[in-house]
Amino acid sequence: MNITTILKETKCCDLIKGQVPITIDSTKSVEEGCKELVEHQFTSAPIIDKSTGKIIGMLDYRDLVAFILLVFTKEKDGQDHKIFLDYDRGHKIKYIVENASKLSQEDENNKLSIHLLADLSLKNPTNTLIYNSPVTKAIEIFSNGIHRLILIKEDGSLYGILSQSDIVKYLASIFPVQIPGHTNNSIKWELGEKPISLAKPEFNEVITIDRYSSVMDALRIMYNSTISSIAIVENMGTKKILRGNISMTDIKEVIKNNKWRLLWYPVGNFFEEIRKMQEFENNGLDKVPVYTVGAETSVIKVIQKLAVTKGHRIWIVTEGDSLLSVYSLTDFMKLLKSELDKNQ
Amino acid sequence: MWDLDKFISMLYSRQLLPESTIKEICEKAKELLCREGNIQYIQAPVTVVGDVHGQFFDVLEIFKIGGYCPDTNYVFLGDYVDRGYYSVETIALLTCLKLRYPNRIQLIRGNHESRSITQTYGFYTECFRKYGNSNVWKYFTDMFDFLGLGVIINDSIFCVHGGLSPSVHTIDQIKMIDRFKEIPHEGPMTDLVWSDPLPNSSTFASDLDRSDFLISPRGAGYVFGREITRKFLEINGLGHICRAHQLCMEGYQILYDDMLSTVWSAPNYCYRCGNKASILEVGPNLERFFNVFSECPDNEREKPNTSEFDNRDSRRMDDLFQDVTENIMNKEIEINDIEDIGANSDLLNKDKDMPEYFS
Repeated sequence: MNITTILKETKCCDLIKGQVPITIDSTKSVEEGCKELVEHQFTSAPIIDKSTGKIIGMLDYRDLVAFILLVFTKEKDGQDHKIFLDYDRGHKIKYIVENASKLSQEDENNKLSIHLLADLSLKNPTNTLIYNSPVTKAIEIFSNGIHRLILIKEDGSLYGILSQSDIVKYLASIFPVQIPGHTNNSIKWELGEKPISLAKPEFNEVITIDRYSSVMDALRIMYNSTISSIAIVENMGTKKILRGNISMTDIKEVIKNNKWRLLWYPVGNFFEEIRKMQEFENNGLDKVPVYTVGAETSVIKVIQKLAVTKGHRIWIVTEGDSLLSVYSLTDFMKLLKSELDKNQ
Repeated sequence: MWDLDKFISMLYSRQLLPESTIKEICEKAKELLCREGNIQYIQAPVTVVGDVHGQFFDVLEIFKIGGYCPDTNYVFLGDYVDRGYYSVETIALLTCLKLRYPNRIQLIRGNHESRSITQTYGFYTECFRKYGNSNVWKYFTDMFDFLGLGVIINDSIFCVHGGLSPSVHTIDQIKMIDRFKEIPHEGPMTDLVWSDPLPNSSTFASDLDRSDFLISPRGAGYVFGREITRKFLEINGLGHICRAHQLCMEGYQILYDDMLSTVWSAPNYCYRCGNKASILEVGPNLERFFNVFSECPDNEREKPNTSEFDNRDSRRMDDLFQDVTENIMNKEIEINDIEDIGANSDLLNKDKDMPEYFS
């Protein structure tokens, strides 16, 4: 059994059996919609128009961040609202801002409706796939940076949501737990057993931030660089020592606990607060501050660690905490795609 | 002047030792610990203490309930620092007790006795706040590199902070580890301080008897079940594993038909979890008794002065921002104000009230 055959013969729907897809009512307010995302621990969810039952877009944390950056930024950006590079998004945001009061008066509960925020962020344009497509097809789409696919049945109705994380979880489960020094894999995957440094010889330039910069700065950098997480580092000569990381989804801790003041904290302190809140919610179980692997860790082991920690990226370090690179779920999808192409 | 008894009595009354004294006690502790093996063999009766996490007043409770050292022998399973408000006093006291009564108290390493963990979870910040620099943090974290990894009581009870490792099947293998370094990201030393047993719940029923380890969602170490525990005890001729590392609402937890137990010694963890705590009293014939206790009564505890931790001015400013942002989110402001947000953000530009930091 080799990895290519398995991926070709497994169907997308098999990976999410038993999933109850969470959708968001398009008339909900921003706060309610985001609170729902947070409660169900998803990073995005499809928005359904109640009257037609149609999927009108996806709500994602990046949309919320766009909203926050707009409302709370102190930058005077002039009449054209050119905070954001993309004109269409800027246009949509301008519309929201100029009409927020009128729109909220139309809405019976006087709230800003969530459908206005849908798809503000380009990272999740609505993508659909027939539910029984082979996993290889999903990997191909994911390798382009799409994070989530809406799986639909033959009649166009919603079957469920397939994410990059679901692929990683599946892959992690078909191999035995990798223990250093043991290779006992019955499934053939040569690259899987190689160190992660060989799988991707060119280490990406990691975008980092100093621990004394503010959270708003971090959000701005992430948004403009279209990344979803930024490493908090301490510069020591040529080395960058990894001290923490902040992701777009950390905003959910701000929402959940109504701690908006945290947005102005230095990013290092914000990170400590987040870890404290997370530990409290995790029944006092503490975790490593940042999910890392050494450069020599095998690809399969990295995938297994990603799956168990439910992370969207993992940081590659050497000699203790010296930051080398970051490996995102999209990077893995690209890796898998090139493996599949190779074996065609 | 070197006077351990004086240092200890200062610490019992929660007086901070001077930086130079901390440096000295850490140097001497390193010399002492250096001579101890990765695994220390001791005899019962002894009392085993789990995580205390800087909850100094609760450590005093432990001594009140269990008896003061050296009248009672103690094994501390690590996690002395982080989270609580008095990590410095806690670790300083335990270090001095170890120097004064080296055969009456054993200190092993927990996952929090690490430079990167203490920089995120509070100890570093506390040292800086109390001493104005990071030297004390450095002295202690250098000393942590010398702490042992386990203790065996009467050749029968194996005490470790976290749990077992797939890379380690025998006690001899633990003895071979080079422990004198920062806890690595992976490997046997990491696993011993980070691993957890699988809970007994029905969710994991099928995993309990697996003979392989699972990767831990904590991001380090593994998760192991009953079968792995049984095998380890059998191969090494041991009767029981006692560990800490996991919060227990009742203060302790016994698993796998008493092959393994968890002892947790920080009551009302983080001053908000509402849990009980316990210490494990091992009698001369290896009888085990979990002495459960709650947090020390308020009138015996000194609550930290909040100005020690929060700058009063920035708290007022935080509240101001909180009000402003909550108003925006609740749409309580006038129509004119909303239209202004995009154009010139006047609502947020309270220049005359803002400290320079925010501009």
